[in-house]
Amino acid sequence: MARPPRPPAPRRRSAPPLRDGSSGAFTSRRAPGSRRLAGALQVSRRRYSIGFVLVVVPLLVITGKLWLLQGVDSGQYALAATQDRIRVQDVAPLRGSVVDRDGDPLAYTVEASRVTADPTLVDDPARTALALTTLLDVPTSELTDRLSRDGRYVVLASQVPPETVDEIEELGLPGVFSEDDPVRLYPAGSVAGQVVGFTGREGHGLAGIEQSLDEQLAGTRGERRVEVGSGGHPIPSGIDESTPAVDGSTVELTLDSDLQFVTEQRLQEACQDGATTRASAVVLDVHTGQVAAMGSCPGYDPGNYARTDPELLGNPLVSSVFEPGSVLKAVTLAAAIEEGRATPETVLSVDGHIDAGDRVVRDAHDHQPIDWTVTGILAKSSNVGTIMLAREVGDAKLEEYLRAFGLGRTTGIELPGESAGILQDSTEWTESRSANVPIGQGVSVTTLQMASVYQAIANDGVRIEPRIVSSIGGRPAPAPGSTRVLSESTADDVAYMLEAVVGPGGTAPLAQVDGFRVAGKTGTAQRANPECGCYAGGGYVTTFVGFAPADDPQYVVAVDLERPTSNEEGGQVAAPVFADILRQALTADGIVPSGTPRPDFVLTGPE
Amino acid sequence: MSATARAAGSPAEGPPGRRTLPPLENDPVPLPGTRRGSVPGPTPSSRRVGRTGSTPGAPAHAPSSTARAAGPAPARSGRAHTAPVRVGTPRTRPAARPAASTGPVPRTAAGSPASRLRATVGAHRAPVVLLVVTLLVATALGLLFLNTAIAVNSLKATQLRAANEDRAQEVQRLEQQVVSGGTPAELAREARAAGMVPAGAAAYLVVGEDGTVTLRGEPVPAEEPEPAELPAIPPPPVAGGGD
Repeated sequence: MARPPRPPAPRRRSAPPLRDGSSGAFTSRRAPGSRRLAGALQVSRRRYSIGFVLVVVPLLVITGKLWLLQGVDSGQYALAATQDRIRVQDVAPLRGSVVDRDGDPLAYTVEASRVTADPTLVDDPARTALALTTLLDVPTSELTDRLSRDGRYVVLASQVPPETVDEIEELGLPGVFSEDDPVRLYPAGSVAGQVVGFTGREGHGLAGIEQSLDEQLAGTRGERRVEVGSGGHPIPSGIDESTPAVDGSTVELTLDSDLQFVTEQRLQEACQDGATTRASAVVLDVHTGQVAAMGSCPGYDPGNYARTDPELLGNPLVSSVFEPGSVLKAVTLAAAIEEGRATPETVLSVDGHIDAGDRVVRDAHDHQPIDWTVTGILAKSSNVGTIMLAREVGDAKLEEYLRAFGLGRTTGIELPGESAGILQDSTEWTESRSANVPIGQGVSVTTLQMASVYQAIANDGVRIEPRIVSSIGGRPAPAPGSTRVLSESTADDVAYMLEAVVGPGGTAPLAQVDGFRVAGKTGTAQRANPECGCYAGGGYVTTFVGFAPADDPQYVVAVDLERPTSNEEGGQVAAPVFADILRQALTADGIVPSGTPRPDFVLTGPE
Repeated sequence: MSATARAAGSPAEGPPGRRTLPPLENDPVPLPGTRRGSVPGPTPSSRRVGRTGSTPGAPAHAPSSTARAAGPAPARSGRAHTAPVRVGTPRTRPAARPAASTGPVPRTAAGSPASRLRATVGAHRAPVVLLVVTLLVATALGLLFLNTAIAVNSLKATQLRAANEDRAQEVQRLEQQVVSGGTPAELAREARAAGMVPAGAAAYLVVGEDGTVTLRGEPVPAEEPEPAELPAIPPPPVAGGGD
């Protein structure tokens, strides 16, 4: 109906007259005022609504979808998108080192990598395997097999040195990655191996210091988030954020590597004598209670623990107990002197045997009654004399002293699996047990506990709990507890008597160290036969514990040898080992002998 | 002064031409309201353009220019007191600038008032467009340059980091050698290889308080142990890596 007015178009073209003089891009070709013409845009209502629906409905759908994507599920999609292109790598912290007192590492960690692959990204397993076989030192067939497996993660090699990883990365093989897999090295090998311990596959400590201080050594994991391309390789200058890993703390031990080496070497020698199945020794600093060396034979190399008999992977010095035998007599005598029941000069008439409940206790060599001084009783290691003195003291008092010296409970040293030993309550002692305990039978101790007893005697009666860690991460370890067990004069008396043991007429002249005055005590205790739980056929545990110089003690050394097939006494077997270790400890530390002569000991009563 | 100055100046140019303008100002009725604000802008400027183009030797130029500078202000205040007026003001400014606007000048002479308006608007947009394009190009070039610089630096950083890592590995390798060479077992082996023997008991020279020197112990040369007596030295550590 309103068609007729359409012709404006031709009319527009007939406008040229307007353009005279004005030319250029910005000039309108439309006649002025022709922009709006009444009725020119008349559209039917139906077409209008169809158009409206065609435009608005899809728009609404799109808006709705957009709202769903951006508003409702946005987090999920953003996460999915991020995960698709961000790869999160764990950054392994370097485990802290374990160093000796001079800072020489006993255990430390170097960087290395684990080479892994994502089989779905590997184009040609055979070719990839061929390229990697020489670098990783893994057979081609095995690599091909792993690279063709289902799944998205296979480990191709562990603990690969960094330079090899660089070479692999230069090959640019798709689907082959590397991740941190630090290697724990034990440069000293088996030296201090039992103390340091080892770490398992997962990097957690499984023995020794590695286990007990695992938390401090481990450090905190870091994380690296990288934007990766389709091949899974990082995009240069893409997202690359990382939280650095915090390396573990360095643990400094009180051990002296050199002394430790000599100790272990000497024990090794002892183990080769054919009768000794196990030899242990510990060296304590008298004034601080610090462990200067601690080792046993057979030991193990922590770097090689997987190929070691699992039986040997402990630290027998703190975890296995034995009956100390005569070395414990020093405690009985100390109790007698401290309680005022005797002095080193007190003379007793000692018989060759003594009744103790259902059995008779004899001296090592039966004899007629002899007048011995208390010093003589210790020097000759008389069981009968010691039991006589113990009866003077009384069971309850004796137990009190034994516990004060640290028996029957752990020393608290920073090593795992420490045994407390066995010390029954005196109320439960039978008559024979009352006679056995003073001479070191019916009581179980660890080598470390034994050394700690003598440390108290050497340190003027003050017992300091033994410790092996001097600092963690630069912070000194807390000071160990110290308790006074004996008065100073009693400690001096006991030290004097112990020197008589090593002197002429004593049981252990072999324990002497040239130039130094040595004090100590032998022990030969029956060893319980593990097969029957009885003493028959168990052989002996021979021990020697002592310190030097006797006039100004510096080091305590405790040695014990397990000899199931021999009945030789501690003075013959353990004393030489003791002397060699002690000599090294004193010479290496520059201890100068005082030059004072050994006192003349009165062992027997006046005729 | 300005309003009067302009009023005085414009009739002098060409009263008839000016007379036609008033209808133009009323003409934009169909235009939207915002447009209306812009209208007063071009109007005075077109007047000016016409002046510069048509009168090359006008001595009135100098005085009139001072009048012109102040010109738009009265126009604004006089004409509309509503906000849209402001929109017009920036438009006038570029127009005042270049002599480039000489091109469209003849157009003002002919054509309908509407086309003349459009032409002048287009003419005054050209420098703006140029400016914007220049800015865009400058920005693009600047970005390009910055990006390149960043990429080059990041490349350098990566190279340095790689070099650093290499050195760290080298240090690690060397440290490993030092550590494994300094272990007691290794030292003992080396010492033995050099013909040394373990020392026996030591003798001491002690300087007393009075300066006398006493010898404690007996210095004796260490004896060479029988090879068979030598205890087995633990095997060298399995220190993986460099050596």
